[in-house]
Amino acid sequence: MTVQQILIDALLGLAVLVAVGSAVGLVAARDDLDRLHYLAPASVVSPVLVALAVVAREAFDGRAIKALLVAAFFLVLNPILSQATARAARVREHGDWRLSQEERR
Amino acid sequence: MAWRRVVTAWLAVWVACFALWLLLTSTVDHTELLTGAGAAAIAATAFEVIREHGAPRARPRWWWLKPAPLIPVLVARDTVVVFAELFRQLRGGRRRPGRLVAVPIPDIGDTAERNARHLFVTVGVSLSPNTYVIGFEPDRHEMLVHQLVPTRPGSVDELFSL
Amino acid sequence: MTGWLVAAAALLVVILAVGIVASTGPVMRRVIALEIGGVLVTLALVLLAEGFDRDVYFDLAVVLAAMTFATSLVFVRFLERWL
Repeated sequence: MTVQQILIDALLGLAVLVAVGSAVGLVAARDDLDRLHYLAPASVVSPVLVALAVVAREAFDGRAIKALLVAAFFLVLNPILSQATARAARVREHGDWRLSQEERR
Repeated sequence: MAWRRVVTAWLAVWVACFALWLLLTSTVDHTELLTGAGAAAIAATAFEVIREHGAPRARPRWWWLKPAPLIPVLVARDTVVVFAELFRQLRGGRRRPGRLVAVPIPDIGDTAERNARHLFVTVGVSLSPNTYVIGFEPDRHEMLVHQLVPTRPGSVDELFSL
Repeated sequence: MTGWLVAAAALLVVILAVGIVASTGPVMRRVIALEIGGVLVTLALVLLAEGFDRDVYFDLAVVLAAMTFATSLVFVRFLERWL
């Protein structure tokens, strides 16, 4: 096994572990706002690790550029999606996403 | 002149879209180039039509990217924090609820600059698993965030520090 | 079996579990499971593309990455305003 292969396997293993952790968190979380925190590791960390593994294997050819593009999409779009989902959860539960007077006390 | 602004913006978007096409197709075959130029023209036109019909304006400042090099470290740290909390709960630890925190955020510039600032802060803060932005209240100069493991940040800068 | 295919197989098992969560329970939990599932399916496509040496799967993954965001946003908007 070469150093490159070990590096690729380590990156992929870590990406899968993070995905498993996110799935466990999805089930174990107490409420929707807590649950949403487990979207970030799967959407931010795993895609970057997979993209790095592709770059380690392919250098910067077409495949690596596409893998990096996928990671870039998730990096930029996941925070926006988290915000929209959290707002929807708050509005459905409380009628407004803003803090109420009771919550401010 | 308004038409000069529209043409400049159209050209800028056309160049960006065509560059993306070239990156994705990785070929300079003339048929592909023509197709890419046409697709980029459609995308640039759609972008400009939406922009001219009241899309929110955003005017970013490049020095807002100063905390960017720290973000990978913050993401790695917060991933450990979040999974450590999950592991603690799974081992039978008492469930500690996440917390909503109102973080002061100063009012700056005009609407376009404020929109861009809110976008930068939302993306930068919400990349880390422990914190995500829910919204901005301009009247109160506050940003509402949710944290799984509360750290009680007193300002936006604290969210971008170790 | 290369490391890519092993990782893809592991992700497919996780996707199955996330899919079960997306099929049951309260609606917001299902939406969050859908969002995570969309990301994992995209990653599985990238891994399968490398494992099977198929360039076209990469194109699918790029399109799916954009579509996952768009469809999740539509669901979330409906849930916030009308459903």
